[in-house]
Amino acid sequence: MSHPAHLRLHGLTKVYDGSVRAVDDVDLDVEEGEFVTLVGPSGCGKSTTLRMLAGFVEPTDGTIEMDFTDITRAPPDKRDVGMVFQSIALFPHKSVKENIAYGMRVADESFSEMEVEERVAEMLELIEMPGYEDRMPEQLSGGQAQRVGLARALALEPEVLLLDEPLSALDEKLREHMQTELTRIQRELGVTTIFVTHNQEEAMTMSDRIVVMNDGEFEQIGTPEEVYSEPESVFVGDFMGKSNLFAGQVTARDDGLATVETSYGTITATADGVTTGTNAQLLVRPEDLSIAQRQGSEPGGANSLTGEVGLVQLIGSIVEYEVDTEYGPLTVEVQSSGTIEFERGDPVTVSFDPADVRFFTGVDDSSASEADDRVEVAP
Amino acid sequence: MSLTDTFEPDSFPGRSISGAKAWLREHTRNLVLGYPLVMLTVLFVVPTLYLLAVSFFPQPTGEYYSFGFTLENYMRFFESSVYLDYLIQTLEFAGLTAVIATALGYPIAYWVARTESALFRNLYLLTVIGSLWLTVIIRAYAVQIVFSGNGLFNQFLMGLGLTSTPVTSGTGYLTVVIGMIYGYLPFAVLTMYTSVQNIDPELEEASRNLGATKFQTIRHVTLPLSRNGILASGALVFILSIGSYTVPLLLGNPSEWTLPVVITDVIQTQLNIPFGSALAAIMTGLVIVLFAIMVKYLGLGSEQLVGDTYEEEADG
Repeated sequence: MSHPAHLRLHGLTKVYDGSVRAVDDVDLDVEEGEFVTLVGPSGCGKSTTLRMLAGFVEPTDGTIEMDFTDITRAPPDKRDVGMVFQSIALFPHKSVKENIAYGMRVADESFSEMEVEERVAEMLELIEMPGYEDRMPEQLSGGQAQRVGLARALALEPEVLLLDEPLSALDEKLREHMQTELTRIQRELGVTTIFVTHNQEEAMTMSDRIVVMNDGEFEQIGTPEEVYSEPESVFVGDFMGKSNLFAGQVTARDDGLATVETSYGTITATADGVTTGTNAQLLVRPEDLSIAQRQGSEPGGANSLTGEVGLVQLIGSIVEYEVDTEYGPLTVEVQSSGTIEFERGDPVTVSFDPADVRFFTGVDDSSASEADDRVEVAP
Repeated sequence: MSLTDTFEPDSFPGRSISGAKAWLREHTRNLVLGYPLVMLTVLFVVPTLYLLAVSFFPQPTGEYYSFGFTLENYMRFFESSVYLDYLIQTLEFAGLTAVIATALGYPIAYWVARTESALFRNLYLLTVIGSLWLTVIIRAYAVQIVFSGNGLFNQFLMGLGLTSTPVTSGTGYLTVVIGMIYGYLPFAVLTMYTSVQNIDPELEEASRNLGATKFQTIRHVTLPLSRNGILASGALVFILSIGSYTVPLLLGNPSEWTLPVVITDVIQTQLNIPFGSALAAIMTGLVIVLFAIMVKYLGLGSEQLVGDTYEEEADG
């Protein structure tokens, strides 16, 4: 990339009411043209971070630099950022044309009517809505309004595009379409983009890099593959995909393998440099579990649990089994060509490889599902 | 008689308790709808019609009025310019008050609506409403004291050297206008407050994000979107001001009276009830006509006058 660290957040912090640390000392370098997604449960501080970038929230501490210029305390209208709002926020009293042209109309630099019309037509072309100039916002569908909002934000060719959960108001089908659209437009223009969402799938499909946020902190920054396959914390692992979690204590270790006594029995996991007695949390992805018909009443060994098939769901080409073991439920995903091998009530054995167990030290205190219930602190 | 008789639809109500209940049940709808209709008729339609009737009654000397029909009362209004001038002056006061109170009230309404803390927002609103708890007489005298020849206002101006002689006096045209603005400003603020509050703050943020300054944002987004609230405020203050009585009476010389003061004078001092009624009828008619014009040309309906809601995007 020609400009490393096009956008740089350094020690960025926002404290509300003197004590609520909505965003707590975060650092991030974004390269030019990169698509970075801030993802996390409600109240994790991702919106506050975005609003600090836009200039609507004043940081308590830290700096924001764009192209080596400090914009930490610059007013919103003096930053070269375009934003698409959660409520879309098209001006209801202005036509599509005037919405898109708004930035040009209020700019110090004066644009001729021809320039304005040319740019509006260009933007409408980009969002594949040519000829919509004279429509009023109330005459647009949700998806169209969304696209006009995007065109408006991009009309002045901003350095950075900010997207604040712009797809959350759309229905499933339209959302998927808009994801593709958004990615296409972003790639086409090569505009540096910061996208905020609570939807991990959206983050996985659209981003170059993902920032997983929790409790005002950046838990992990990495490519979609990295945060999914190599989560650095239980929170990231649990938030970025489906998972089976086991909490327990290390009872023995041997040659890179740790034996952990959990509420699901004894589990062996690959783990380096752990001491016995350590509290551990283990995470196994549903697709790393293998499921087999149980013969007789053989007892489950290490990394092998017996149970009965509960809920069976066919999700595309994947079959998801909910297996009820004596300790609790497990989720198993099996790639299949649309055939369901096991049925509700079938006795099965679920087993997994120690290499597929992700080992984390620490006590189970903050799982993603808990964090989900927290109330958003940002105004 | 048997119980079943009382369930006959046309049976006389109240002969037995169950009969009364059945009758009530059957006529609930009429009763509920009838109440406002009766009240509206008794309290508004009948008095207005009576006023209209009296305005056509002749006034024999030594009597309040007698039944009959004459156009004399109306002719008297149009014969001399005295009463017409009072009417024009009343409209002048009302127009000035409406425009100035709305202009002064908008920044206040905007500021209150955009105060983030709910506590302070309510405190400001309470302050605005609180001024209405004082009787208008006391407020009129307060204006008189502050704006009198050697009152605070003039002393302040003279102290700054902006003027050598007092600009206002305890009574007079300017004092009446100031008194009326002071009296009706809370209505202007409250009307426009609702209007501003209904504007999604994200629209203002979007404007700032697109490079507009605070001032440009107010001009291009906030003001146009609070158009209905501004018009409603103007209309409300105008109509209230036309009926203003206490302020012009206390702060105006007889030459600065409004029509309502004159009407009271005609009735109380001249004891001419039919002529007073005619003046009142003319004023009411004029207000109705003006109101109709506002509704037609400013697109102002009852919705806008009661509470302003700008239609947001159809779906989001």
